[in-house]
Amino acid sequence: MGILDCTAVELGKKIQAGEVSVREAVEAVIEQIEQTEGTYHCYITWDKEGALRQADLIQKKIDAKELTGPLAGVPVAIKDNMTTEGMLTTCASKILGNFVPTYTAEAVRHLQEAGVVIIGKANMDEFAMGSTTETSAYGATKNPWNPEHVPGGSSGGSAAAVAAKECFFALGSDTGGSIRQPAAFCGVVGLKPTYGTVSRYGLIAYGSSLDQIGPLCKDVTDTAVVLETIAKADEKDSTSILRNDTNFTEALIEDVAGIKIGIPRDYFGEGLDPEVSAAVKKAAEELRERGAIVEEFDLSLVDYAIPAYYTIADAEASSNLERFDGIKYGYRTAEYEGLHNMYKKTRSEGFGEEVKRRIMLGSFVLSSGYYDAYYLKALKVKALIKQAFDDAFEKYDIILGPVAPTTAPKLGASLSDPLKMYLGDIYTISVNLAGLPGISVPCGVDSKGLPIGLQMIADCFNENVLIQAAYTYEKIREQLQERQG
Amino acid sequence: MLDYIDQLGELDTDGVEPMSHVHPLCNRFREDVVTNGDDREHILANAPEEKDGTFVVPRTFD
Repeated sequence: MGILDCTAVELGKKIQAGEVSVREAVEAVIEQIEQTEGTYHCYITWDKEGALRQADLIQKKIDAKELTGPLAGVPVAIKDNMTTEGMLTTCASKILGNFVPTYTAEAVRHLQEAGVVIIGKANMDEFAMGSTTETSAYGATKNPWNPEHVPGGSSGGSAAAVAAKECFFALGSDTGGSIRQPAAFCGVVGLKPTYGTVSRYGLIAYGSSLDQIGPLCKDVTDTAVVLETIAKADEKDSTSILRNDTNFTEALIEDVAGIKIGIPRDYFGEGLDPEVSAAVKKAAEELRERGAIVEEFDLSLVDYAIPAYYTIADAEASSNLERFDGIKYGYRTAEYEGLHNMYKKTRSEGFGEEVKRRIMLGSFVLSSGYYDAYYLKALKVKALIKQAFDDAFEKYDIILGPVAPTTAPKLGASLSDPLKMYLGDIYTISVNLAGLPGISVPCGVDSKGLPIGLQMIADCFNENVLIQAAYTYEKIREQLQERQG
Repeated sequence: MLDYIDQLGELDTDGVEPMSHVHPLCNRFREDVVTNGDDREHILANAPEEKDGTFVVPRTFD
């Protein structure tokens, strides 16, 4: 097994044992990037010299026994909406095309303290607005399983970089499915934690009440280790929560006996690809065979999650993106007459189509006269959706379903019809509205050879049951594959 | 798009409290002490235009 075939945790062990040096690990990743990046375009920025410098510094600390953790020396990718001191952070937008932050996002800082090597900044949809990574101002990322298809989004570069072995794991962010959906499309594991678990300090805001940072990894073990590393309360994020139950690796137990799993019937209706449906139902059956109690139920309100989500997320986006004014940082138009014209030209030239669409929609739903009918109404619907989940979690430990209605679409097939693209988020967005944790794990491949994702959702603060079920399911699949040779 | 959002109107939300935040949190306060100090150099580092330690903006009134 070559270095690149290791998981993050396997690599970390080899580094601690002195079997692989940090430099060797970084060089292996760089060689891979140089070979495949031209096809996949997972990164907006990557820094060979900087990564090698980090490698040598980290190796010294490992040799001195200052860094003994599982992630020390592991090369990673960071989604380009998290600030990294001294490294370009564009949010895949022209408006931040020259932004070199002077501080590092809290979640990234926790990884640095654990001794990871940051290879670069992963491509994404501009300001995380999109489901395909095609709205990036720096070109689309391609799916490593088939470069004619999208990697999903918005954390498409992060997911593709893990799948293409251009890093060992990546951080992404999830506002409406932006970790789970690309993880599903690229055949990797992605986890969106309970809202408030990971600090948003240094995460460039999209929909602040929905945004959450999380890991994209090769397997569930890596996912638990990374989440454990970044899940820390932070005074600099007022919505961060102090949790005493973040020993997620303790949940890596192969056992689902007695775990109650609910499958929403409303997730298997019109629009769901039959191959995706079959793979997800088969996964549920396999968990049942291992002792899980599986039954179907009606979640309700599923169709209302999308309009509620786009109202709330766009409203927050329109407010959050007001800061890009061409004065304090980022792009400023070359020629202008007066302040207003400068704002107008800077923002018109700096933002892409999808971002502008959401700013306009968000401004509209917040405008006087429409606020009650749209924004306030959406907040009430959000309360109803939260209640529907609360009711479900009275009966079940886990809600199981697909991540997305289809596998990865072809490049260019989604952008022409934004509403169609938004409908693809149907199974993921309600999780953000309700602040719940959700995980996406690979559960098969369709007839086109593209990966299918299984989504499991738990009640707030119950990542442990998700990790345990996902870990067990991963073991079931491994054993199946071994038997099939 | 707006037509699509209009389907929210189908739901009866009378008496439902709008939910802005999913967790029952109250405001969290910290001691009112300066923690970040004078960071002018960093703050100005990415300014499109600066002069004498300040941001340069177009004339805002005549």
